[in-house]
Amino acid sequence: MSPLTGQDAMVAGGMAAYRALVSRRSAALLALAGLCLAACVWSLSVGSADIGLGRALEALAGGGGHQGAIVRALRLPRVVMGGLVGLGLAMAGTTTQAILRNPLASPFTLGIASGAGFGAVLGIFLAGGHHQGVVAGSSFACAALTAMVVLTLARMRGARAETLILGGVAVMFLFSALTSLLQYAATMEQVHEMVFWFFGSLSKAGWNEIALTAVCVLPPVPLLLRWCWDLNLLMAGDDTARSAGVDVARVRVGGILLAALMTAGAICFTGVIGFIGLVAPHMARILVGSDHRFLLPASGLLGAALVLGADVLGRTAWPPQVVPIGIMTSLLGVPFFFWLLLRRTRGAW
Amino acid sequence: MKRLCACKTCRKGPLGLILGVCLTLTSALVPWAEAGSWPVVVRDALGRTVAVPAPPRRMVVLNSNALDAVRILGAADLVVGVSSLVRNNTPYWRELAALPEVGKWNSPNLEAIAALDPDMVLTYGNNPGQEIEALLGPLGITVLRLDFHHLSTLEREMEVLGRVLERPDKARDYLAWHRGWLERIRSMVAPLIGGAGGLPKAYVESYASYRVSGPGSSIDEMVRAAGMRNIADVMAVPFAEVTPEWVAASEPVIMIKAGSTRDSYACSNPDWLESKRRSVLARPGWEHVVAVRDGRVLVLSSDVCPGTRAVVGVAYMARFAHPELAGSVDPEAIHREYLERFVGLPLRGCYAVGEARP
Repeated sequence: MSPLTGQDAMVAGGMAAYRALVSRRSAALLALAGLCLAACVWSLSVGSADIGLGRALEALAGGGGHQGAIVRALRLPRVVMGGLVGLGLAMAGTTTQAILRNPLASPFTLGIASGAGFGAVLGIFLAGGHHQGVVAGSSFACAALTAMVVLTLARMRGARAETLILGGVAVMFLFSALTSLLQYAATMEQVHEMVFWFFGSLSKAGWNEIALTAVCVLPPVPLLLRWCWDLNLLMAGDDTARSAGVDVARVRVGGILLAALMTAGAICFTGVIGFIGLVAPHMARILVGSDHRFLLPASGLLGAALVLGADVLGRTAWPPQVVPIGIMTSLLGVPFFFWLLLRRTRGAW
Repeated sequence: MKRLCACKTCRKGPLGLILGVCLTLTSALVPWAEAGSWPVVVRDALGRTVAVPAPPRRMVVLNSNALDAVRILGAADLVVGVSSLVRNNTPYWRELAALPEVGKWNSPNLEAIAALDPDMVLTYGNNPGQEIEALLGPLGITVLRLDFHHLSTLEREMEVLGRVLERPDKARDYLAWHRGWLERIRSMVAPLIGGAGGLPKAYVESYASYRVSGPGSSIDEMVRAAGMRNIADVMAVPFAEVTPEWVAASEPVIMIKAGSTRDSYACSNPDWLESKRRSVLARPGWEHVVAVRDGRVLVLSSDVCPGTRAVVGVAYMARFAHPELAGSVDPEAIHREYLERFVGLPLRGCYAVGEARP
């Protein structure tokens, strides 16, 4: 065997360092999966019905009698919906931040949440809040419409990141105004329902709603993971990405579409759950770095754990009242957001 | 010298100022001024003293519950402007619905109010904000805040309005009817709730799903008057969110859902209330809630709870919770009497779905 040259040694050293990095990040991913699982178990073991962890796990296997039935019918759907919503919002946020190259971007800054909110308010105005299917359908349709409007604007200007952000902000203000107009014209009953929709809630989660949310949230996951190298290159700038063969416009438009689908699917049944799409990607970035092969799954797992944790805190902080999930995630997310802003002034992201 | 008060009385100069000070002292010492002597000092929904300088002759009414009270007192002809709530509900309000509209109940157009040259605006305790006193006061308009929203304050507020409108007899007449029915229902329910089972437990949901009507809400007062225990009586806020699991674990045997603020009087088909009840019965996992499993879900129109017809709502609730009362409590008959005697309307409309018919 010939002795290693200096260059070979450098390559071997680099490979070893890379393997170590991948190992560390894989371990972090495993830890996050464990955290997510722990959040699920914690969420399953906490409730008003005085059913502990043992009974709750027994219920999952089909036993437990009446208490088991309560766990399967009322507690488990909440856990599954919380996990799906957190995963969807966090991965949508990570994608949006990458394709806009903006640390403060999220599906909310693109106006998609405002569109969903207006859609829900329109559904309540036309059909009443108890027609949950109409409210959710209207919310989803308006979120999708918002994404289309923003994308059309962006395509007209070459799908530049700045155009997407400015278009999103403009659409956000438009839908906020339309939402206020409907609230102004609504009856007291409708206003009551509209206000509470914006607080967010996991209490409405049933298996039908979960199935529809899963259809919106899960299929984009493998598609986004397939684009992780493209997203990595986009972070280096449009020109760099193009020179490496990335179809920038296609990835940007496709990414926004998938992020919009995940966001709309996540919040149309649950109401606005803020800050997960902004905070989870940043927390994941601190843990696994900016490589989207790790960042996307890490932020998804962290988002799911955050929503489940916030829900448990919301249910246990002031029992038997439930602090709405939208309020709870914002209460937890805002301090972190301020910290991010301070970090940003030091040039780190 | 800077004026302490901007009402018409005080704008008359030093004499007005002295009178204003006297009024304030009087109100502090004597909460109720003598009937027939003007100005009259009354306590409003916020517990503040309000001096009404003279009997109102032109009123703008933003609070639809208060408009009901004005009509009960036979003073509808004094009303010159109403909120959009009234304009949207023509069959019930009849000629009042044709009056000029001054905007929403919580954000009225103050210029439109002023243009009607009223001497009084009757509105809710907390809505709109207190800027309207500051802005309308200098125009000589007295703002009187009365809610007519809670059973606990309805009687006092009716007395206040009767005094202000110089119709204390009519107020007494209504209050005798209201108290009479309330006492009858309470006395009929009392022997039924002393048994081993105690008060039947009720889950009382507000307009929004999974939000209770807890302590401090007007519906909670009605539920208790109807001989039930609100499972949300442990809540610290009136409209808290709850989990379905908590509802199931609390084992309510009755569920009462707040119905529509749509015009129940014009309704000929209770589809709207029915669909609300169906959606409750179909909620995922709610088969574990005793009341839902047993089909004991009553959806009640907000037209009969709260407000001046609250006793009708209490009667619906009492009959629903205590089927033994079916022969002696007839909400429809009480409602008919109210409408024919105090409003001059025949009974029609849809007010409740879900109850077992006697």
